[in-house]
Amino acid sequence: VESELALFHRDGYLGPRPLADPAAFDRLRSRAGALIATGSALTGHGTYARHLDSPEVYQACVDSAILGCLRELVGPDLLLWNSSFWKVPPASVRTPWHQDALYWPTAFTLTCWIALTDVTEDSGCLTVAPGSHAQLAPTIECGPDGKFERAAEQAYVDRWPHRPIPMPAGNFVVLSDRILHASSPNNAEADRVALAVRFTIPSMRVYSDRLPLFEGHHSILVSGSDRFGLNKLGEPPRPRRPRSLSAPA
Amino acid sequence: MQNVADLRREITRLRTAMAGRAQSVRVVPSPESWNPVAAVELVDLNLPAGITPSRVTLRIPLPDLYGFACSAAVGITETPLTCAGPAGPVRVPFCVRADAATLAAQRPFYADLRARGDELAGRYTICVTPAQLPARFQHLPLPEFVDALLRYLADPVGAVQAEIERTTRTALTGGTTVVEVLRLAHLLDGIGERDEAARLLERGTELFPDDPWIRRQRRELGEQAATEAASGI
Repeated sequence: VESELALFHRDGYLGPRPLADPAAFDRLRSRAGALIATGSALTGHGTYARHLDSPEVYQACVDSAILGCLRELVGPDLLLWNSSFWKVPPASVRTPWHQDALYWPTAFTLTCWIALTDVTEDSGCLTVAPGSHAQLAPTIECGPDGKFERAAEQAYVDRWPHRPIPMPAGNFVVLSDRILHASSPNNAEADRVALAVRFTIPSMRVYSDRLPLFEGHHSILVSGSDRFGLNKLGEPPRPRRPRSLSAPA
Repeated sequence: MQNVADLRREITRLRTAMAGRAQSVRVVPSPESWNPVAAVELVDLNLPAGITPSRVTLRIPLPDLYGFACSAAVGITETPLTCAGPAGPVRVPFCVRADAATLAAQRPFYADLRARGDELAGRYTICVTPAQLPARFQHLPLPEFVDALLRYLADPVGAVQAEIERTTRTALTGGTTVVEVLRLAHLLDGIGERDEAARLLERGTELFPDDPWIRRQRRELGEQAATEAASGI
Protein backbone atom coordinates (compact mmCIF):
# COMPACT_ATOMS: atom_id res chain seq x y z
CA VAL A 1 0.00 0.00 0.00
CA GLU A 2 1.42 3.35 -0.98
CA SER A 3 1.61 5.93 1.76
CA GLU A 4 -0.69 8.93 1.68
CA LEU A 5 2.40 11.08 1.23
CA ALA A 6 3.55 9.11 -1.81
CA LEU A 7 0.06 9.22 -3.32
CA PHE A 8 -0.19 12.96 -2.77
CA HIS A 9 3.23 13.54 -4.27
CA ARG A 10 2.36 11.35 -7.25
CA ASP A 11 -1.07 12.79 -7.98
CA GLY A 12 -1.01 16.27 -6.41
CA TYR A 13 -4.22 15.68 -4.50
CA LEU A 14 -5.71 13.37 -1.89
CA GLY A 15 -9.29 12.32 -1.21
CA PRO A 16 -12.19 12.66 -1.12
CA ARG A 17 -12.56 11.89 2.56
CA PRO A 18 -15.40 12.56 4.98
CA LEU A 19 -15.11 15.27 7.61
CA ALA A 20 -14.86 13.89 11.14
CA ASP A 21 -17.47 16.12 12.79
CA PRO A 22 -20.85 15.95 11.02
CA ALA A 23 -22.50 18.21 13.62
CA ALA A 24 -20.01 21.01 12.99
CA PHE A 25 -20.48 20.53 9.26
CA ASP A 26 -24.28 20.83 9.63
CA ARG A 27 -23.86 24.08 11.58
CA LEU A 28 -21.64 25.43 8.80
CA ARG A 29 -24.07 24.38 6.10
CA SER A 30 -27.01 25.99 7.81
CA ARG A 31 -25.10 29.29 8.22
CA ALA A 32 -23.33 29.42 4.86
CA GLY A 33 -26.10 31.10 2.87
CA ALA A 34 -26.54 33.89 5.43
CA LEU A 35 -22.80 34.43 5.76
CA ILE A 36 -22.32 34.79 2.02
CA ALA A 37 -25.31 37.12 1.73
CA THR A 38 -24.42 39.45 4.58
CA GLY A 39 -20.68 39.85 4.17
CA SER A 40 -17.92 40.04 6.72
CA ALA A 41 -17.55 42.97 9.10
CA LEU A 42 -13.80 42.55 8.64
CA THR A 43 -13.58 42.55 4.85
CA GLY A 44 -17.04 43.55 3.70
CA HIS A 45 -16.90 40.51 1.47
CA GLY A 46 -19.27 37.58 1.75
CA THR A 47 -17.04 34.78 0.62
CA TYR A 48 -13.46 35.58 1.70
CA ALA A 49 -11.81 34.71 4.99
CA ARG A 50 -15.01 34.06 6.88
CA HIS A 51 -13.11 31.77 9.24
CA LEU A 52 -11.94 34.99 10.88
CA ASP A 53 -15.42 36.13 11.90
CA SER A 54 -17.56 32.99 11.83
CA PRO A 55 -17.02 30.26 14.42
CA GLU A 56 -18.96 27.85 12.23
CA VAL A 57 -16.59 28.35 9.31
CA TYR A 58 -13.54 28.14 11.56
CA GLN A 59 -14.70 24.88 13.16
CA ALA A 60 -15.17 23.27 9.75
CA CYS A 61 -11.72 24.48 8.66
CA VAL A 62 -10.06 22.74 11.60
CA ASP A 63 -12.02 19.50 11.40
CA SER A 64 -9.81 16.76 12.83
CA ALA A 65 -9.95 14.74 9.59
CA ILE A 66 -8.55 17.73 7.69
CA LEU A 67 -5.81 18.47 10.18
CA GLY A 68 -4.90 14.79 10.44
CA CYS A 69 -4.53 14.58 6.70
CA LEU A 70 -2.39 17.71 6.50
CA ARG A 71 -0.12 16.52 9.30
CA GLU A 72 0.62 13.39 7.29
CA LEU A 73 1.69 15.57 4.38
CA VAL A 74 3.69 18.37 6.00
CA GLY A 75 4.05 17.60 9.69
CA PRO A 76 2.43 19.01 12.81
CA ASP A 77 2.92 22.77 12.34
CA LEU A 78 0.06 24.30 10.37
CA LEU A 79 -1.21 27.79 9.66
CA LEU A 80 -4.68 28.55 8.37
CA TRP A 81 -4.27 31.66 6.24
CA ASN A 82 -7.41 32.00 4.15
CA SER A 83 -10.71 30.48 3.16
CA SER A 84 -13.29 31.22 0.52
CA PHE A 85 -16.77 30.07 -0.28
CA TRP A 86 -17.50 29.07 -3.84
CA LYS A 87 -21.20 29.41 -4.57
CA VAL A 88 -21.91 28.44 -8.15
CA PRO A 89 -25.49 28.92 -9.34
CA PRO A 90 -27.04 26.84 -12.13
CA ALA A 91 -25.92 27.73 -15.66
CA SER A 92 -22.87 29.60 -14.43
CA VAL A 93 -19.69 29.78 -16.51
CA ARG A 94 -17.01 27.14 -16.09
CA THR A 95 -13.89 27.67 -14.01
CA PRO A 96 -10.97 27.35 -16.46
CA TRP A 97 -7.96 25.09 -15.96
CA HIS A 98 -5.51 26.81 -13.66
CA GLN A 99 -2.92 26.35 -10.91
CA ASP A 100 -3.63 28.17 -7.65
CA ALA A 101 0.04 28.81 -6.95
CA LEU A 102 0.10 31.62 -9.50
CA TYR A 103 -2.42 33.59 -7.49
CA TRP A 104 -1.45 33.18 -3.83
CA PRO A 105 0.66 35.52 -1.72
CA THR A 106 2.71 32.66 -0.30
CA ALA A 107 5.07 30.14 -1.88
CA PHE A 108 3.32 27.08 -0.51
CA THR A 109 -0.32 26.30 0.09
CA LEU A 110 -2.37 23.20 0.64
CA THR A 111 -6.06 23.69 -0.10
CA CYS A 112 -8.81 21.66 1.51
CA TRP A 113 -11.86 21.86 -0.71
CA ILE A 114 -14.98 20.98 1.30
CA ALA A 115 -18.24 20.18 -0.50
CA LEU A 116 -21.18 21.88 1.21
CA THR A 117 -23.63 20.40 -1.29
CA ASP A 118 -23.52 17.08 -3.09
CA VAL A 119 -21.20 17.64 -6.03
CA THR A 120 -21.72 15.64 -9.21
CA GLU A 121 -20.36 15.76 -12.71
CA ASP A 122 -23.69 17.32 -13.68
CA SER A 123 -23.26 20.13 -11.17
CA GLY A 124 -19.72 20.79 -12.42
CA CYS A 125 -17.57 19.02 -9.87
CA LEU A 126 -13.93 19.75 -9.41
CA THR A 127 -11.81 18.07 -12.09
CA VAL A 128 -8.08 17.61 -11.58
CA ALA A 129 -5.14 16.63 -13.77
CA PRO A 130 -3.24 14.10 -11.62
CA GLY A 131 0.52 14.58 -11.76
CA SER A 132 0.32 18.08 -13.25
CA HIS A 133 1.57 19.66 -10.02
CA ALA A 134 5.13 18.74 -10.99
CA GLN A 135 5.52 21.70 -13.33
CA LEU A 136 4.05 25.08 -14.10
CA ALA A 137 1.67 25.26 -17.02
CA PRO A 138 2.00 27.89 -19.76
CA THR A 139 -0.90 30.32 -19.51
CA ILE A 140 -2.97 32.46 -21.84
CA GLU A 141 -5.19 35.45 -21.22
CA CYS A 142 -8.86 34.66 -20.73
CA GLY A 143 -11.50 36.60 -22.56
CA PRO A 144 -13.58 39.27 -20.84
CA ASP A 145 -16.26 36.70 -19.99
CA GLY A 146 -13.89 34.44 -18.11
CA LYS A 147 -13.76 34.04 -14.35
CA PHE A 148 -9.99 34.44 -14.28
CA GLU A 149 -7.57 36.77 -16.04
CA ARG A 150 -5.33 33.89 -17.11
CA ALA A 151 -5.84 30.18 -17.63
CA ALA A 152 -3.61 27.25 -18.56
CA GLU A 153 -3.08 26.62 -22.29
CA GLN A 154 -5.58 23.99 -23.41
CA ALA A 155 -3.03 22.09 -25.52
CA TYR A 156 -0.88 21.72 -22.40
CA VAL A 157 -3.86 20.71 -20.25
CA ASP A 158 -4.81 18.04 -22.78
CA ARG A 159 -1.50 16.28 -22.24
CA TRP A 160 -2.65 15.24 -18.78
CA PRO A 161 -5.34 12.78 -17.72
CA HIS A 162 -8.46 14.50 -16.39
CA ARG A 163 -10.17 13.10 -13.31
CA PRO A 164 -13.53 14.42 -12.08
CA ILE A 165 -13.98 14.27 -8.30
CA PRO A 166 -17.67 13.95 -7.48
CA MET A 167 -18.34 13.76 -3.76
CA PRO A 168 -21.18 13.94 -1.27
CA ALA A 169 -21.64 16.98 0.95
CA GLY A 170 -19.38 16.82 3.99
CA ASN A 171 -16.41 15.39 2.10
CA PHE A 172 -13.18 17.14 1.24
CA VAL A 173 -10.13 16.82 -0.97
CA VAL A 174 -6.63 18.19 -0.35
CA LEU A 175 -5.05 19.88 -3.34
CA SER A 176 -1.49 20.94 -4.04
CA ASP A 177 -1.36 24.60 -4.99
CA ARG A 178 0.23 23.49 -8.26
CA ILE A 179 -2.22 20.91 -9.51
CA LEU A 180 -4.14 21.85 -12.63
CA HIS A 181 -7.83 21.90 -11.87
CA ALA A 182 -11.07 23.24 -13.30
CA SER A 183 -14.81 22.82 -13.07
CA SER A 184 -17.55 22.65 -15.67
CA PRO A 185 -20.65 24.85 -15.70
CA ASN A 186 -23.24 23.88 -13.12
CA ASN A 187 -25.91 22.10 -15.17
CA ALA A 188 -27.91 20.97 -12.15
CA GLU A 189 -30.90 22.85 -10.76
CA ALA A 190 -29.42 23.88 -7.42
CA ASP A 191 -26.40 25.93 -6.34
CA ARG A 192 -23.11 24.11 -5.98
CA VAL A 193 -21.44 25.37 -2.81
CA ALA A 194 -17.97 24.62 -1.46
CA LEU A 195 -15.57 26.05 1.05
CA ALA A 196 -11.90 26.18 0.02
CA VAL A 197 -9.58 26.40 3.01
CA ARG A 198 -5.95 27.48 2.57
CA PHE A 199 -3.18 26.22 4.82
CA THR A 200 0.55 26.72 4.87
CA ILE A 201 3.37 26.00 7.29
CA PRO A 202 5.06 28.54 9.58
CA SER A 203 8.34 28.61 7.62
CA MET A 204 6.47 30.19 4.70
CA ARG A 205 5.70 33.89 4.72
CA VAL A 206 2.15 34.95 3.93
CA TYR A 207 2.24 38.41 2.39
CA SER A 208 -0.81 39.93 4.01
CA ASP A 209 -0.50 43.12 1.97
CA ARG A 210 -1.01 41.28 -1.31
CA LEU A 211 -4.27 40.29 -2.92
CA PRO A 212 -6.56 38.64 -2.05
CA LEU A 213 -5.65 39.55 1.53
CA PHE A 214 -6.46 42.79 3.28
CA GLU A 215 -5.54 45.11 6.12
CA GLY A 216 -6.20 43.37 9.39
CA HIS A 217 -5.62 39.91 7.98
CA HIS A 218 -3.92 37.39 10.21
CA SER A 219 -3.13 33.70 10.05
CA ILE A 220 -4.16 31.26 12.76
CA LEU A 221 -1.86 28.58 14.13
CA VAL A 222 -4.17 25.55 14.07
CA SER A 223 -1.71 22.81 14.94
CA GLY A 224 1.76 22.49 16.45
CA SER A 225 4.00 25.47 17.00
CA ASP A 226 5.45 28.42 15.09
CA ARG A 227 9.26 28.49 15.42
CA PHE A 228 9.67 31.16 12.77
CA GLY A 229 7.57 34.18 13.67
CA LEU A 230 7.32 35.25 10.03
CA ASN A 231 3.59 35.83 10.02
CA LYS A 232 1.09 37.88 11.91
CA LEU A 233 -0.90 35.42 13.97
CA GLY A 234 -4.22 35.94 15.65
CA GLU A 235 -6.95 34.16 17.50
CA PRO A 236 -9.87 32.27 15.94
CA PRO A 237 -13.35 33.77 16.30
CA ARG A 238 -14.99 33.15 19.64
CA PRO A 239 -17.66 30.46 19.66
CA ARG A 240 -21.19 31.80 19.70
CA ARG A 241 -22.90 31.48 23.04
CA PRO A 242 -25.97 29.29 23.11
CA ARG A 243 -29.11 31.47 23.19
CA SER A 244 -30.08 30.37 26.66
CA LEU A 245 -26.81 31.75 28.04
CA SER A 246 -27.04 35.13 26.30
CA ALA A 247 -27.37 38.14 28.55
CA PRO A 248 -30.82 39.68 28.50
CA ALA A 249 -31.12 42.82 26.37
CA MET B 1 9.68 21.35 -8.29
CA GLN B 2 9.29 17.62 -7.78
CA ASN B 3 7.91 15.02 -5.42
CA VAL B 4 9.02 11.92 -3.55
CA ALA B 5 8.73 9.78 -6.66
CA ASP B 6 10.97 12.24 -8.50
CA LEU B 7 13.35 12.27 -5.54
CA ARG B 8 13.75 8.53 -6.00
CA ARG B 9 14.56 9.17 -9.67
CA GLU B 10 16.94 11.99 -8.73
CA ILE B 11 18.83 9.65 -6.42
CA THR B 12 18.99 6.99 -9.13
CA ARG B 13 20.38 9.56 -11.57
CA LEU B 14 22.82 10.78 -8.94
CA ARG B 15 24.05 7.22 -8.39
CA THR B 16 24.69 6.90 -12.13
CA ALA B 17 26.44 10.27 -12.29
CA MET B 18 28.63 9.45 -9.29
CA ALA B 19 29.67 6.00 -10.49
CA GLY B 20 33.46 5.99 -10.45
CA ARG B 21 33.52 9.36 -8.70
CA ALA B 22 32.17 8.33 -5.30
CA GLN B 23 32.26 4.97 -3.58
CA SER B 24 28.49 5.05 -3.05
CA VAL B 25 25.44 7.30 -2.67
CA ARG B 26 23.82 6.64 0.71
CA VAL B 27 20.30 7.72 1.62
CA VAL B 28 19.95 8.92 5.22
CA PRO B 29 16.36 8.31 6.32
CA SER B 30 14.48 10.80 8.46
CA PRO B 31 12.42 10.02 11.55
CA GLU B 32 9.80 12.48 10.23
CA SER B 33 7.44 10.66 7.89
CA TRP B 34 6.53 13.88 6.04
CA ASN B 35 10.24 14.46 5.24
CA PRO B 36 11.16 10.87 4.42
CA VAL B 37 14.76 11.54 3.37
CA ALA B 38 16.89 13.58 5.75
CA ALA B 39 20.06 13.65 3.67
CA VAL B 40 22.03 12.04 0.91
CA GLU B 41 25.68 11.17 1.41
CA LEU B 42 28.25 10.89 -1.33
CA VAL B 43 30.67 8.47 0.29
CA ASP B 44 34.37 8.95 -0.46
CA LEU B 45 33.74 11.49 -3.18
CA ASN B 46 36.68 12.35 -5.43
CA LEU B 47 36.97 16.15 -5.47
CA PRO B 48 38.37 18.22 -8.38
CA ALA B 49 42.14 18.58 -8.65
CA GLY B 50 43.55 21.32 -6.44
CA ILE B 51 41.13 20.75 -3.57
CA THR B 52 42.48 19.33 -0.31
CA PRO B 53 41.57 16.79 0.89
CA SER B 54 41.11 15.10 -2.44
CA ARG B 55 38.42 12.72 -1.18
CA VAL B 56 35.64 13.46 1.32
CA THR B 57 32.26 12.14 2.31
CA LEU B 58 29.84 14.89 1.37
CA ARG B 59 26.54 15.00 3.20
CA ILE B 60 23.70 16.89 1.51
CA PRO B 61 20.81 17.64 3.87
CA LEU B 62 17.45 17.91 2.13
CA PRO B 63 15.39 20.89 3.20
CA ASP B 64 11.91 20.38 4.60
CA LEU B 65 9.39 20.65 1.78
CA TYR B 66 11.94 19.21 -0.62
CA GLY B 67 8.96 17.43 -2.08
CA PHE B 68 7.11 20.66 -2.73
CA ALA B 69 9.12 23.82 -2.96
CA CYS B 70 12.76 23.72 -1.90
CA SER B 71 15.99 22.40 -3.38
CA ALA B 72 19.20 21.17 -1.78
CA ALA B 73 21.76 23.95 -1.56
CA VAL B 74 24.44 22.88 0.91
CA GLY B 75 27.00 20.14 1.40
CA ILE B 76 28.61 19.19 4.71
CA THR B 77 32.11 17.76 5.11
CA GLU B 78 34.11 16.52 8.10
CA THR B 79 37.10 18.70 7.31
CA PRO B 80 37.57 22.17 5.78
CA LEU B 81 38.27 22.28 2.06
CA THR B 82 41.26 24.26 0.85
CA CYS B 83 42.43 25.30 -2.58
CA ALA B 84 45.45 27.06 -4.05
CA GLY B 85 45.66 30.80 -3.40
CA PRO B 86 48.22 33.38 -4.59
CA ALA B 87 50.30 32.90 -1.45
CA GLY B 88 49.59 29.28 -0.65
CA PRO B 89 46.56 27.21 0.29
CA VAL B 90 43.43 29.09 1.31
CA ARG B 91 40.07 27.96 2.60
CA VAL B 92 37.63 27.40 -0.26
CA PRO B 93 35.41 30.50 -0.33
CA PHE B 94 32.11 29.88 1.48
CA CYS B 95 33.35 26.68 3.13
CA VAL B 96 32.63 27.60 6.75
CA ARG B 97 32.49 25.84 10.08
CA ALA B 98 29.01 24.73 11.13
CA ASP B 99 28.92 26.45 14.49
CA ALA B 100 26.17 26.04 17.05
CA ALA B 101 24.46 29.31 16.10
CA THR B 102 24.30 28.40 12.39
CA LEU B 103 22.98 24.94 13.13
CA ALA B 104 20.37 26.33 15.52
CA ALA B 105 19.25 28.86 12.92
CA GLN B 106 18.90 26.16 10.24
CA ARG B 107 17.37 23.51 12.48
CA PRO B 108 13.75 24.43 11.72
CA PHE B 109 14.40 23.94 8.00
CA TYR B 110 16.24 20.60 7.97
CA ALA B 111 15.07 17.27 9.38
CA ASP B 112 18.70 16.13 9.34
CA LEU B 113 19.71 18.88 11.75
CA ARG B 114 16.78 18.20 14.04
CA ALA B 115 17.60 14.51 14.18
CA ARG B 116 21.40 14.63 14.14
CA GLY B 117 22.39 18.27 14.63
CA ASP B 118 24.75 17.43 17.47
CA GLU B 119 26.72 15.02 15.29
CA LEU B 120 27.03 17.67 12.59
CA ALA B 121 28.30 20.45 14.85
CA GLY B 122 31.89 21.37 14.07
CA ARG B 123 31.78 20.04 10.54
CA TYR B 124 32.08 22.35 7.53
CA THR B 125 29.40 23.54 5.18
CA ILE B 126 29.68 24.65 1.60
CA CYS B 127 26.75 26.42 0.08
CA VAL B 128 26.10 26.90 -3.63
CA THR B 129 23.05 28.82 -4.76
CA PRO B 130 22.27 30.38 -8.12
CA ALA B 131 23.28 33.99 -8.66
CA GLN B 132 19.76 34.84 -9.65
CA LEU B 133 16.73 33.10 -8.33
CA PRO B 134 14.87 31.30 -11.10
CA ALA B 135 11.19 31.82 -11.71
CA ARG B 136 8.92 30.52 -8.97
CA PHE B 137 9.07 26.82 -8.24
CA GLN B 138 11.97 25.97 -10.52
CA HIS B 139 13.48 23.02 -8.74
CA LEU B 140 17.18 22.19 -8.95
CA PRO B 141 17.42 18.38 -8.84
CA LEU B 142 20.12 16.71 -6.75
CA PRO B 143 22.36 15.61 -9.66
CA GLU B 144 22.38 19.17 -11.03
CA PHE B 145 23.16 20.57 -7.57
CA VAL B 146 26.09 18.20 -7.15
CA ASP B 147 27.29 19.03 -10.65
CA ALA B 148 27.16 22.77 -9.84
CA LEU B 149 29.05 22.19 -6.59
CA LEU B 150 31.79 20.19 -8.32
CA ARG B 151 32.10 22.78 -11.08
CA TYR B 152 32.48 25.46 -8.41
CA LEU B 153 35.18 23.41 -6.67
CA ALA B 154 37.11 23.10 -9.93
CA ASP B 155 38.12 26.78 -9.50
CA PRO B 156 36.39 28.31 -6.47
CA VAL B 157 38.45 31.50 -6.23
CA GLY B 158 38.14 32.11 -9.96
CA ALA B 159 34.39 31.51 -9.77
CA VAL B 160 33.96 34.07 -7.01
CA GLN B 161 36.16 36.61 -8.79
CA ALA B 162 34.14 36.15 -11.98
CA GLU B 163 30.98 36.65 -9.99
CA ILE B 164 32.37 39.82 -8.42
CA GLU B 165 33.15 41.17 -11.88
CA ARG B 166 29.71 40.22 -13.17
CA THR B 167 27.93 41.82 -10.23
CA THR B 168 30.06 44.96 -10.49
CA ARG B 169 29.24 45.23 -14.19
CA THR B 170 25.54 44.86 -13.39
CA ALA B 171 25.79 47.61 -10.77
CA LEU B 172 27.70 49.91 -13.11
CA THR B 173 25.44 49.43 -16.10
CA GLY B 174 22.04 49.06 -14.49
CA GLY B 175 22.47 51.25 -11.41
CA THR B 176 23.41 50.02 -7.98
CA THR B 177 20.63 48.41 -6.00
CA VAL B 178 20.56 46.93 -2.52
CA VAL B 179 20.87 43.46 -4.06
CA GLU B 180 24.21 44.29 -5.70
CA VAL B 181 25.58 45.84 -2.51
CA LEU B 182 24.64 42.79 -0.45
CA ARG B 183 25.88 40.34 -3.02
CA LEU B 184 29.19 42.08 -3.64
CA ALA B 185 29.89 42.38 0.08
CA HIS B 186 29.07 38.70 0.55
CA LEU B 187 31.37 37.71 -2.32
CA LEU B 188 34.22 39.91 -1.06
CA ASP B 189 33.87 38.45 2.40
CA GLY B 190 33.87 34.95 0.93
CA ILE B 191 37.12 35.59 -0.88
CA GLY B 192 38.76 36.98 2.26
CA GLU B 193 38.46 40.69 1.40
CA ARG B 194 36.66 41.51 4.61
CA ASP B 195 37.85 45.12 4.92
CA GLU B 196 36.72 45.81 1.38
CA ALA B 197 33.36 44.21 2.17
CA ALA B 198 33.00 46.39 5.27
CA ARG B 199 33.80 49.54 3.28
CA LEU B 200 31.25 48.57 0.65
CA LEU B 201 28.55 48.02 3.25
CA GLU B 202 29.39 51.36 4.84
CA ARG B 203 28.96 53.03 1.48
CA GLY B 204 25.77 51.01 0.99
CA THR B 205 24.42 52.37 4.25
CA GLU B 206 24.99 55.89 2.94
CA LEU B 207 23.29 55.09 -0.35
CA PHE B 208 20.36 53.22 1.21
CA PRO B 209 20.08 54.56 4.76
CA ASP B 210 16.71 52.91 5.42
CA ASP B 211 17.60 49.45 4.23
CA PRO B 212 17.53 46.91 7.07
CA TRP B 213 19.34 44.18 5.12
CA ILE B 214 22.49 46.21 4.58
CA ARG B 215 22.54 47.22 8.25
CA ARG B 216 22.07 43.58 9.22
CA GLN B 217 24.84 42.30 6.95
CA ARG B 218 27.16 45.02 8.23
CA ARG B 219 26.45 44.03 11.82
CA GLU B 220 26.94 40.34 11.08
CA LEU B 221 30.22 40.99 9.31
CA GLY B 222 31.48 42.88 12.37
CA GLU B 223 30.33 40.12 14.72
CA GLN B 224 31.97 37.47 12.57
CA ALA B 225 35.27 39.35 12.56
CA ALA B 226 35.13 39.75 16.34
CA THR B 227 34.35 36.04 16.85
CA GLU B 228 37.19 34.98 14.59
CA ALA B 229 39.61 37.37 16.26
CA ALA B 230 38.61 36.04 19.67
CA SER B 231 39.02 32.41 18.63
CA GLY B 232 42.28 33.06 16.80
CA ILE B 233 41.00 31.88 13.39
